[in-house]
Amino acid sequence: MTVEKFIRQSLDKISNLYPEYELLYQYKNNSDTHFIKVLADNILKDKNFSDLYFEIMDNFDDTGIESELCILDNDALIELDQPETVVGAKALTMNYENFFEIQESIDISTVNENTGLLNGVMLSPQDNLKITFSGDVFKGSPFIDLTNDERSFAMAA
Amino acid sequence: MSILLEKSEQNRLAFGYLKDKEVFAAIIHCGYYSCFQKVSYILKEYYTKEWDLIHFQLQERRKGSMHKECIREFVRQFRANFGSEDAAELDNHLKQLKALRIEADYDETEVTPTMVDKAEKYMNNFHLLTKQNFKV
Repeated sequence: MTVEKFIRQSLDKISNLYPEYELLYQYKNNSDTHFIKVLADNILKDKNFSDLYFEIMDNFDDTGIESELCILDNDALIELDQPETVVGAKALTMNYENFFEIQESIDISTVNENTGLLNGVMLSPQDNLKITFSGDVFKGSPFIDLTNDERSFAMAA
Repeated sequence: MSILLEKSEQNRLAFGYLKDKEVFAAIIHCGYYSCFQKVSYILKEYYTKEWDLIHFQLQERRKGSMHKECIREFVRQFRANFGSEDAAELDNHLKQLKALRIEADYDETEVTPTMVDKAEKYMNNFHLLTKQNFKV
């Protein structure tokens, strides 16, 4: 298998598991290393990712290609100076009704008609909305006022 | 104490010294070798058969990288004995330190304070995990 084909297959595997993240690629001649960068924070700490990580690395070893393969995330030490965007992030679709606890003043149908970016999820605002929600999934989101476990998010039109 | 382990420790100390003096050009070199010397020590000490095989195969093939083969074997053993999550992080950090060491030593790449902080984090994490799991 050629290295290009292997890289393409690996990108597809990552993209299938994490469609919401953009993937970059660069080969650096000096260190003879193929770098794949996942534009996500701390992805190596994700159990699902570490399984995929070794699946990719083991397959790479099996090809007998002499160069190195290294996967980076946003916290990486290595910087890519001429990366190619090889896989764009895909918007996720999900049922917001199960995702948010909507305040009484909000009509659920209004929320579903709106879009905008919230924690990687696309929504499109038409009105000013105030949504209250809770759960670990929202911790650390820059869009959310982190005052306690139950947070509020005002989305402007 | 093994001389190889002493070298590893001296490179770790040199990292701290160079950081204090803000001498960044050689710092990644010290960080990487501090880790790689301990990788070599662990393989020689705990996985002697594998260590000998790496050197035999490299001699036979007359090509390939000793560093690459040692890191791969070390991570393989770590993963088999202590789990894949820490092993993935170790593998990744060692590969990044190795690649940046080459850039820092031979290329125009500027070693920034941010890089130094991350490299230090990787190096310390490596020493912590090896201390926890190999007692060295």
